[in-house]
Amino acid sequence: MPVPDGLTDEDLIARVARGDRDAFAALYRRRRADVYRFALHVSGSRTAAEDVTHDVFLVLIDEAARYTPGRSTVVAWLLGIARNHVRRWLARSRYTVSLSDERAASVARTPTSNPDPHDELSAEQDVAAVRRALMELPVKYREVIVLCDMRETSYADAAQVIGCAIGTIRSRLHRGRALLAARLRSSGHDTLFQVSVTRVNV
Amino acid sequence: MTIDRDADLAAVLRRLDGHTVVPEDDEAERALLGAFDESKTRRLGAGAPRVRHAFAWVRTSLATAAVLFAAAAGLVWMTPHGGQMGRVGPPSPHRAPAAPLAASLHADRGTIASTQLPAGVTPVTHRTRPARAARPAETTEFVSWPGATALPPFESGELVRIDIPASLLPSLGFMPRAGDGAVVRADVIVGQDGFARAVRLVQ
Repeated sequence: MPVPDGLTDEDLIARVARGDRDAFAALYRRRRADVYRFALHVSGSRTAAEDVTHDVFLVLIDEAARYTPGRSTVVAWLLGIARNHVRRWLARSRYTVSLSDERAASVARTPTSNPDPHDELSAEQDVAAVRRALMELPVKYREVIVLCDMRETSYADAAQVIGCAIGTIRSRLHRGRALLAARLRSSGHDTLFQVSVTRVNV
Repeated sequence: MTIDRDADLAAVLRRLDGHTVVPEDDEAERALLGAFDESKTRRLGAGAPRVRHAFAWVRTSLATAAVLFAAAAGLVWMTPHGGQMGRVGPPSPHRAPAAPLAASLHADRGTIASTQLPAGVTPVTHRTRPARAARPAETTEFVSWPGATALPPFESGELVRIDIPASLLPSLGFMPRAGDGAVVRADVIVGQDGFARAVRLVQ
């Protein structure tokens, strides 16, 4: 039976716990991208992101009843599971998260609508530079930056995901931002995503 | 945009996120729905094969280790506080097998949540201690297992002594010590759901 429109994540997960297949499919389609993006940006690997996303929703199948409304949002709960799986993946890969050209190419990019090929190339270079700098951060700073700055997760939800105090989130975010900015400056990327100026002779 | 301001840096990062496409994967969705059906059938008692989680072997290993621990009757783990391994609460003069950890566990470190043990963690085989008490092992205090607040409160579980790679120490909140080798011994409190709740190092 298709789920009604307008159900919240909490409604869906409650239905999943009761064995509602359509609710599971709806929650998967709604939150799959959130889990994938988080896993991708923290691990730097599309393979890891796909595996982690799959594993997170496998966990959801049997553990949906363990979700406690009010303790955290459903997204934070899912990302908390994803974080554990990503950390295990990173541990197995011995924290080798250097961004090789192969890995950079594995992350699909959306084609821009900018007709200027120079702008598109510049934007791609900037994207690559930011991604590279992000992957050079220690994991504990990277995951906070991915959650709060990139995915606009609230401090409270981020604290639930990572399992620490909100103050710790703030301090790691502050430190992570400083490290990220320093890395971008050192690589010569002080200014990013500049809009090209076309000179017109009048 | 420059990266001097936090807001601009965040905007840059969101732009990076916007450049990331999440690929469609119908096959993965079908596989998950198949796993869902399987799980539902199993729960209804139809005897369908159990859905295998990615780390089911870890739970099996932990369960086996817990059985060995409990079966080694008379096993007494001396701690600096004079308590016993496998029990939480006031020290008891009686040697008891590993009992369910009491709710007083929460008094040690506040709310403790857990995650599954990471890959590479090897449960040690517990050996029966000789009647003469061995030199008590010194341990650090328990710290919460990182990133595990989204799980239900601890109700019962086991205390497992395992070897973990020393490279995991920073992620657990411990500083590597001068005398550490490639692996270090640790005590892990495993909750009723098979997820680790807290860890301490054995010195």
